[in-house]
Amino acid sequence: MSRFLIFIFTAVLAGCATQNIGKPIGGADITPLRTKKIAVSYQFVHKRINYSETLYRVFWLEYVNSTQDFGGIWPADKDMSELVAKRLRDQGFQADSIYVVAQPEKIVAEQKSLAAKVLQHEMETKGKTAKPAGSQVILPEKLFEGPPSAPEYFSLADELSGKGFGYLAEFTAVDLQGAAPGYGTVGVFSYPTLRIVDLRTNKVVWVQNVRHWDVAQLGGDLRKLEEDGMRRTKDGMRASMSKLDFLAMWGFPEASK
Amino acid sequence: MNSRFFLLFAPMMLAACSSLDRTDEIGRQPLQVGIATKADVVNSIGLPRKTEVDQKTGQEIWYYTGKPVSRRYFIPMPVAATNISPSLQMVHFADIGPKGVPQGESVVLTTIFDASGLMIFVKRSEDKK
Repeated sequence: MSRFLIFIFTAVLAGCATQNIGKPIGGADITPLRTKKIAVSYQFVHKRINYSETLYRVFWLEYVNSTQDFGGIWPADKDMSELVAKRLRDQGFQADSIYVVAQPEKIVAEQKSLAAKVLQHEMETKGKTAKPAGSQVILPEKLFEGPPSAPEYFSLADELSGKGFGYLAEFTAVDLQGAAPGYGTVGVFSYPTLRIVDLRTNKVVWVQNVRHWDVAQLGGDLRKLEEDGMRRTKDGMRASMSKLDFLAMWGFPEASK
Repeated sequence: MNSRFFLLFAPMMLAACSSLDRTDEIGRQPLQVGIATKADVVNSIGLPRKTEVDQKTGQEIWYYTGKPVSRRYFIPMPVAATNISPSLQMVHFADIGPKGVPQGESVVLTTIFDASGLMIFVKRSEDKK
């Protein structure tokens, strides 16, 4: 029986392993991504981790949901931007975190502008979905498909162009997810939407919902994700990032099959 | 009979305690003003439900509730059976478990940190709900 359940759990996780297929917007040519410099931004709109836990109560199942705020202890946006940039560099791209190339006030302004878009979407869709409190929200790709119009974007884009960057890759996630589905496993998941803007034309050339996660054996204790300055959450995000294959995601022939 | 039943199932019930209910830790862990840092507080009682930053002073306020946001239950109850063959019967179940049971959002502990991350204030609510 337990073997059967482990098989099912593995199969469910394997089901999550497939990335959504991204798309070039308006038939844009994204091959210059391979050679031009990419500035990377990653942001959690809400600095919170949503938990879901499944408890096996002999005759029934209990699902517990909660949410905790990590904004005071982990500068996640900065760390995650660097993790993505590093992963891109590992795959042969020229990428830098915006936190090491742009002025902090311009970064904050642009991220607030993107966050405002997400918050407006949340207000418009509030109550229309029947998800339990603390559930993960995946943003619709179409929210990011239109051309950037916020003055905050142009201020940042001008600075990046001036420093020789060709693209701005912006990952926007509503929040982070921690799950304990059973058998002592604990997973940490993030579902950002990626928007790539060509800094020469200021047009969005690619939008994609990205999924990355890692699962560890932590005795089913979600508290362990918070200990030691969220060390295990950070480890999980680092491990999840190393599994992302941007070459394959963007259809480059060098991608490992 | 009853005691045997509970001896059999109690370990299974206890083994499935929620790691999201922090009411006990919040109520019993000592937090020392002027000594504890943010990391110490998180290691003792976990992350807060919500934080606020005072932009003028750089002070940060952390609010703890202890309880999870909600619980749902899946309780299968057999409601019908269909004979598929003389030796095989399919049993139909209905889920009668309550959904979205709110756990209460009252703040049971508030802490304030200065701009360096040192705890300068802590208050436990008398409301233990």
